[in-house]
Amino acid sequence: MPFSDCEYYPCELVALDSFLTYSGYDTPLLIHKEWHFRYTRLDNRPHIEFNRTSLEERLKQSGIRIARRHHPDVEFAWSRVSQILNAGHPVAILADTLILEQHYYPGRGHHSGHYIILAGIEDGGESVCVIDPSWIVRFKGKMPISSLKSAWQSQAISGCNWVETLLPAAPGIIGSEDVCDVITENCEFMGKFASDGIGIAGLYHLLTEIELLQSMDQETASEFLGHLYESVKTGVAERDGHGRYLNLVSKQTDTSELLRLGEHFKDLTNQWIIFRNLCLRGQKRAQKDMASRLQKRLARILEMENEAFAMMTELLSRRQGILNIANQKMIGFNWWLTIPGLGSNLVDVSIAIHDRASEGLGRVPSGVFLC
Amino acid sequence: MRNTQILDLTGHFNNDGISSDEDRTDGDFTGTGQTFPEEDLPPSNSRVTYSGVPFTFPDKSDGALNNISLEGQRLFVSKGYYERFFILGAADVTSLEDSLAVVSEQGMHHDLPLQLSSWRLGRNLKYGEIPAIRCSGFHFPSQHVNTERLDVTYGIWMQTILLPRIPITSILLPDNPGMHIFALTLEEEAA
Repeated sequence: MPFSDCEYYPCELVALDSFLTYSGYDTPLLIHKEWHFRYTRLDNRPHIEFNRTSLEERLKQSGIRIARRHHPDVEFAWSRVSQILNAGHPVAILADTLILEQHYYPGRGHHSGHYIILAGIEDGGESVCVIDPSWIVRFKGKMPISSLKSAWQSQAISGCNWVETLLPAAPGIIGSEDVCDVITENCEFMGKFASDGIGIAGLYHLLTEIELLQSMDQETASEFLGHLYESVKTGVAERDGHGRYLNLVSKQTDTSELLRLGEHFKDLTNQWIIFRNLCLRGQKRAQKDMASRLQKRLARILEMENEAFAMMTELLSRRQGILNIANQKMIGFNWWLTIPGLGSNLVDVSIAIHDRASEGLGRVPSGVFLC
Repeated sequence: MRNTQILDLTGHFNNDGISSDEDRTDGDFTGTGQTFPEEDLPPSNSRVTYSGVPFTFPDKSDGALNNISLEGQRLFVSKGYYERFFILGAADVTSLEDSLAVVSEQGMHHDLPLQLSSWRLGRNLKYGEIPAIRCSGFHFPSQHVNTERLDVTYGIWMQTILLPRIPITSILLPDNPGMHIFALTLEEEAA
């Protein structure tokens, strides 16, 4: 089970990434197709959505089902999870960090939920193999089952929670048409609904709303920035993930435009992180110039989101030509149909796909997860 | 190594990123209360050398500001030609990229990339820095978190910035508070 290299992602996404990578999938192709922005504010609570559909829905579109399970009785929950482990499949569970701290977790001294992966039962049923793929932890080791149960059933995180995943017997099918559809849909959302806080217009709206900070007292400003700080967290993962998605597509198609877009999203992610850091600092201590500092950084983000929009629409302007040539479909989410006419070599790619498909299918669990 | 000039950053320090085990509530490197363990770092105001580059390590004592959290500060340097400069620093929560400007006497700005890996090192330093100082972990107010059992270490890195062939008088830092500089040394250009 690999550690995730997804910095700054929520632990649930990190655990999912490790799990899917282990299972032979390229996670970004499954869950990071969306490029989205929607800004709303209720009273003093600014909120940003960086995706249109839930994680469950996005996975479902790719034939993968996840079910979040909960049970108050740890023995019942354990019997269920141990069945899955005994069948040879990992399971993600939500554990209490304060109890994990006693074993390996770099602690914060308070209760909070954290997703870890259980990979098997060892020592004659006395220990469980734990993988914590999080970028701040990166731990592989064993824990006594009794300790694990304590961390799992903690009332501080509302009892036993775990995630069951049903993978398809065979990977799904993605083609070049899908690439164009994804980009088209994203452009429609980012450019079309100008009146509803959505897309590029929504970014403009946020830019003007930050002006309000200047007239707020420190407590209100701090609260506003606190909400913004929390809200942007998912955005960092979504922008980074979409950059990874575009990079993967680019590699499979040898399409330099997509590679450039992928790198652009990487830079965009960096800008969102800096924006979030500014929100954190502004929340912690009063700074007269914080509104202008945030606006300056957001203006840069807006400029870059606009550039991404322009690059995508330029690519789409060639869409019809692309589709006329490429109407093939291929097996596997983690390899991509070449887009002829954009510089790749069909023969080489076909051979690579054949080889990798055999290898990849062998690594995909055959859908025996409980659901 | 040619002649070097260690820049005195004391007047620019605006963040306390170091705490002793006796008082882990001192300082806040990340904005969420975490700090470098004083015990793992070089002595206060000591001369340290990494890969042949000398630096002055800042004051670690409780309450002392010991690094620049980048907020657009301007660092004045003796007017001259420099080959490159070296930074002892790190980004806090995650690795960051930005650009700084070196400024000539005429006020011309020349932008240069500035990249600093996170103080938390997982696999590799993201931007090719030299791992100058490695710590046993980090401090939370509640505890010294030892990360030696994990596949993660914490530290301060040495980054190199190559300079253009222009006489410079100052360095303008970006507004990027997640980036931190503990020490900076300039290397003069060959005569």
